[in-house]
Amino acid sequence: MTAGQTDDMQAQLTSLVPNLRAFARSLCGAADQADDLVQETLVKAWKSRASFDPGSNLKAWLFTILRNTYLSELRKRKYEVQDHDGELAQQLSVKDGQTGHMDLVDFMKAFALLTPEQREALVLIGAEGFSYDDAALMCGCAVGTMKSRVNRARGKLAELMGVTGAEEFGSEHAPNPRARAV
Amino acid sequence: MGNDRKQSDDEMRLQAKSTTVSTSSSNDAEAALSPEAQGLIGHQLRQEYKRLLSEPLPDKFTKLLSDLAKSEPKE
Repeated sequence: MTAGQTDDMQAQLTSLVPNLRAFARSLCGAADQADDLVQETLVKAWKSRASFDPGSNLKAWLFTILRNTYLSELRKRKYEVQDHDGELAQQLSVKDGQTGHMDLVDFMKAFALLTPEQREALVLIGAEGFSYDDAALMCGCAVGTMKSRVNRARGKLAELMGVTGAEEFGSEHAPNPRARAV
Repeated sequence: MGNDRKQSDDEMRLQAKSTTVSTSSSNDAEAALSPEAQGLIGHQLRQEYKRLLSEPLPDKFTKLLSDLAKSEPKE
């Protein structure tokens, strides 16, 4: 790699750090853990930059490295994660059983209650604007699975936030009733 | 790279497994939402994501990248 190409790669990686941080925060919640994940992703990306096809999407490549690193971490801390998942599932099932009088939560709280796969799907499609095909490729799943994750994620958010139809929210939330759907 | 590929295959399997575990929540969740509800959720998602994107960037990231670039062997 020439000095010019090195500078170029450095500049491109720098410009994508905010997206990597936002994606990492969406996956793991904790800010310091997310930043560690981003740093690890940058080091891995730098070391394997020769394998990046310059004609392809650098952001998709970096996001794939980040999510694989995250999953690797999860696997290392399997027991901790299992406990955490159990706790979360319990919270959700309690809520499901009390639908009549459950406390509604705001967007961020509801988002945190989604599964990691649902958060990832929602962010890739709804916030980053990747196509279903690209997102499925990045996550190593079928396109149908990706669509289903996004649908479930939306449905769960709507349920937790108490948003089920037009009559459910005030005008201050939606500046434009035709706002683009996720 | 061969090892990396093997590793990511494992991770996909891990993920496939955790997906089947985590889909136990109510089936209502998959029912179609009204366009208004979808619009609201999409709007809030993009707002929150935009907020994350606009957070100031700690120096450690630019420093890390410039250290990596410096460690590049000169040709």
